Amino acid sequence: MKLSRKVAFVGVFTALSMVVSTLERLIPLSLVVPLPGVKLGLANIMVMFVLYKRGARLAWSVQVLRILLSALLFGTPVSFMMSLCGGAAALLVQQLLYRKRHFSVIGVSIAGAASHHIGQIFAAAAVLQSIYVVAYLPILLLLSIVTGALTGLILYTIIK
Amino acid sequence: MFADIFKKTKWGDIWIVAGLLVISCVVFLFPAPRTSEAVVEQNGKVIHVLDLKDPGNEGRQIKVEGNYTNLLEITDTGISVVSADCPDGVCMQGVVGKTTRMIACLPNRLMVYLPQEKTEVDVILQ
Repeated sequence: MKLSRKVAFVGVFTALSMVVSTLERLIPLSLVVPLPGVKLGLANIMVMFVLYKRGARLAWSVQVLRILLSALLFGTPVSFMMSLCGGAAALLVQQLLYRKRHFSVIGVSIAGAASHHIGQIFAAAAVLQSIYVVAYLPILLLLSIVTGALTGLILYTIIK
Repeated sequence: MFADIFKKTKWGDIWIVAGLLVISCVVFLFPAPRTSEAVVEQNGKVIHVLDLKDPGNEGRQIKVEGNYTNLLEITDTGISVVSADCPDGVCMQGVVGKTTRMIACLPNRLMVYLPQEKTEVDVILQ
């Protein structure tokens, strides 16, 4: 793929991922699950789409750009660090798993959602300088099965 | 549309879900006994230890200042953040001792939690 096409591709999918994460804020998920940090992770659909269609390098570009732009537009230094740790952990795990034939889109998506939470919890532990927040991880991991499966299903219908 | 999804599910997926379930259930199945004392930490340092069972503490308000200001209040059910000027306000969602075990306010580096009671190692070994 030519460089100009890559730039355009990354641009379009960065924009798309930011649009869906803005739309996601309209879904009052916190009314159903009143826990901070729980979200559907719709933006991950776009990142995973790029990962499956165009490989890890472009997926990393989309992920890093998305996190950087969201931080500049809506974020604080703390929220930037949190989403960077979560996003990097998620994409790292997804990158390791997506070519393995034993994992389908849904499994990779669940693994990504779970590692996103793990990354975020360790970022929070670093910010608070206390490892105690890890106690919050089990419930997040349980919920990540649901949110990961959901985004995986959506991606599955797009990709197939 | 989703009917063929179960045919596409592979072994690795089931292992991922099973692994996550095991990790989270292990913690849920063995809840450690907890004290009635809540610990307030800022920047990793303990700044208050509050006895929630002490009736004299009920209604007490504690102001925690840092990058932002959080106002904690002890009620008969637990301890919660009643007002905060941090940007997201996530910390005002729960009540430690009733709905949650821990409140964290990342912008103010504040954490309120119930510490787990120290158990003797010998007891576990029996």
